[in-house]
Amino acid sequence: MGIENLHKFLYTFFSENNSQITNQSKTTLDIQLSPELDEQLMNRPFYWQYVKKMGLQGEATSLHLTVDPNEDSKYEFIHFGSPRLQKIMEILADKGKYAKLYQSVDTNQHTPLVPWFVLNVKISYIGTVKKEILKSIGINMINGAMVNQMIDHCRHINWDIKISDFCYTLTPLIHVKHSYQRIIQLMKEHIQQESHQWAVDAWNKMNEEKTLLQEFYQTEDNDYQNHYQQELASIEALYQPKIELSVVNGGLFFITQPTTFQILNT
Amino acid sequence: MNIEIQSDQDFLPVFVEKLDQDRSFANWQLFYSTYQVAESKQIKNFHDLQAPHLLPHVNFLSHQLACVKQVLHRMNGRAILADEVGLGKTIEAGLILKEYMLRGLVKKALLLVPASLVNQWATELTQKFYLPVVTSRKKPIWDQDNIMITSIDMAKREPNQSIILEQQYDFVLVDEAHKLKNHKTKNHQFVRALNKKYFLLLTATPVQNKLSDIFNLVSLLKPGYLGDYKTFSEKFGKRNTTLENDAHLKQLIKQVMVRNRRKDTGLEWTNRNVETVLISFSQEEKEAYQMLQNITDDYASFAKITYLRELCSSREACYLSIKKNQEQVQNQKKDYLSLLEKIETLPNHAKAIKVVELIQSFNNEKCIIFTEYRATQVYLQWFLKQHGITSVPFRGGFKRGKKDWMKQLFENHAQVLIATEAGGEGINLQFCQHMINYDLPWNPMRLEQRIGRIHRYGQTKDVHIYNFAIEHTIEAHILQLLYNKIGLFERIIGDLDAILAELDLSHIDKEVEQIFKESVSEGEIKIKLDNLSSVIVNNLGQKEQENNYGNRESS
Repeated sequence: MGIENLHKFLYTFFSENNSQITNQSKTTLDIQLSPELDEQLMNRPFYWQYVKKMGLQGEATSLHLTVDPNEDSKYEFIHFGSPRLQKIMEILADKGKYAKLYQSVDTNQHTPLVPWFVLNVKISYIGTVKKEILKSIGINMINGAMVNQMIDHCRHINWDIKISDFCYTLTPLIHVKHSYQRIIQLMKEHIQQESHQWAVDAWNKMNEEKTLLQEFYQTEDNDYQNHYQQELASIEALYQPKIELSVVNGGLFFITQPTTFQILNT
Repeated sequence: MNIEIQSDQDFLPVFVEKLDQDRSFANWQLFYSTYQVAESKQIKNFHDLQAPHLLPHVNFLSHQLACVKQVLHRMNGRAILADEVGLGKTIEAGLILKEYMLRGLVKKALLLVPASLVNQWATELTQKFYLPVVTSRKKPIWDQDNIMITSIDMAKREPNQSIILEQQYDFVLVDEAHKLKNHKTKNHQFVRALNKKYFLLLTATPVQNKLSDIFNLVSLLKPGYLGDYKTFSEKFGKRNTTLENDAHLKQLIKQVMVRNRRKDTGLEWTNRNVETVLISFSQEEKEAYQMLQNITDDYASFAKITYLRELCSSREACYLSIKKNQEQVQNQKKDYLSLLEKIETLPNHAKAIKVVELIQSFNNEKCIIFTEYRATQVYLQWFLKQHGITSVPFRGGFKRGKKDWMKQLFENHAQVLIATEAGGEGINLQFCQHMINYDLPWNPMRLEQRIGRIHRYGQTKDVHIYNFAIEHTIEAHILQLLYNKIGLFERIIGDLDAILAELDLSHIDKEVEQIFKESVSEGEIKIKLDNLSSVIVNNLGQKEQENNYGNRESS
């Protein structure tokens, strides 16, 4: 999964950020940036500082991107390693972190919407190297039911930032804070049950190195300054296994009762 | 065993606050894109390298990828990279750093490289790896999270040293790490005192003279890994060649050192055509050479040898040097004066004429000329200009910026680069295929280093090396008795440096000088040079039979 179509991804990013796509082909995009995006993306702080100080309307530049490395050189080749895309991703991580969305419904009857709390979390297993797992968990804030891979359910629903006509939201019985805590708690329980050979390996390796170090400094030659504590700390930094939970994004999602029923029963 | 679990502290409070204000929420597109980004960036397993996929413009070689994996997975980021010259140690190190940064394991790095290579490292890391590096300028900032490239001398200087030693580095790299082999030096102690997690030592010559070299390097990396110094020297002694013979030690070293050799990489190297160009002095030059030899014949002194070598290089070099030392020679003052007069009347140097002839046959292809003397460098530049050939000088004394600029001028505008010995260190000129060794250095390793400037990883065409020597002079002796005999031009580097080090001949040029100085007759010179080269040849033969050590596990 992830970004499968970079061209489409970029199109969405720019158009959702008030920039105008002036021209496009299958592989290229010509973009007239919004002043805000220009400031964040184009790395010309002095210009914007000057413009603001003078009280002027800054003129945002345009950007010409291509996803095809063989394209004409007037286009900038953008790919997963390129600093440009990294910067775009960085901006996105900030802009797309918190959501409050309503399922859009075309109705003329009073329709209740069920509140869900959705949390996408990255779990990092850090030993001598690192592995990451993404979890997307939704909790029904009325009855506390939890669903895995919530994001996949959400993908098939039409969303709006405003509530549709004739719809109203049910008041959650489980507070946001508690929903959050329940999800995190669940993850921790799962993690406890997993087997952690990677951590055992790192742990053993750490103890091996510590023993060697101790022997080295016990019979230490005078020429060597005593750096025992420092070396010990660096071994711990290198091998001490740990797990980190970090939230990618999350938010409140209001879903109709039939859809809620569907999600819970698949 | 208890694994610490750290939870996210930021999300909930911010979200609650936003709910209170009921504003600035993302729409579905942005929300989903953000999730997609996280998915794309996700490191799915412990072992596959992420970095190569993100750097499609670099073509990594299989031995480089294997090295990176080995350092990452088996050595846990603490290793000696000891590939032979020109196999891309920089690329391996860059890839390791990039991989760690992608995995979020490194944020702050310190790269200690020779001062003359600081800019080259910076360019390589930004252009090939998109790493945001900082080089130390006048007032470097050490206490931020960044990738700092600096020289060890700069870092050691106060107030830098005290600040650096307070920092916690995730990654430390030392290029030319063989300079740290002596644990009593300030450099060694400084590097030892750094707070570091991942740690790479780069060197092409991990063992130079003694086994203790490797002990000291490994002890920097993993103290205690080879025991302490006392037990180590008791066990392995001071015998120099034991590393090759001791299977146990070899095995131990393999766990902390990656050494790729040219012949194991399976790479197709472009050919290296080496041609000896023997040149005859003109009649006048012969007379001058003879005169010089006659005056000084009674004095088998250092000066004599120098003057003779200089005369083989250019009138200017010899003239200036004699002139400078004139006060010191009282006895033959008259002889020297007439010699100087003679030199003044000499026509253009036979070698210089040959250079022009040769370059004109290159069809505008780039060429680098190495000379030992600055006077010759200036003369050559002038002489080439007379013939409409553009050239730029390159000297060790140039500042970093000027060196970069000269290199750029050479790449884009001038046809010829004229370098002195010190200038040649560390610049990479893969875009050039011709090299003229205008004067031969007396140390074969230096010749190899010169050739390594153009015949290296990245060179796509065959390279042509022309070694100049003037017939019936001191130069011809060296060429025939030393270089040709040890077959320097036929073999590809590698063993030679190790042999010279083991025989304690790292300063072979001094040895040769000694021979010339102390010998009474030409016959004696010949015999002595002959003996010297026999010793080397003999050892080379042995070396080739021995196994290599510290090689890649897989090979």
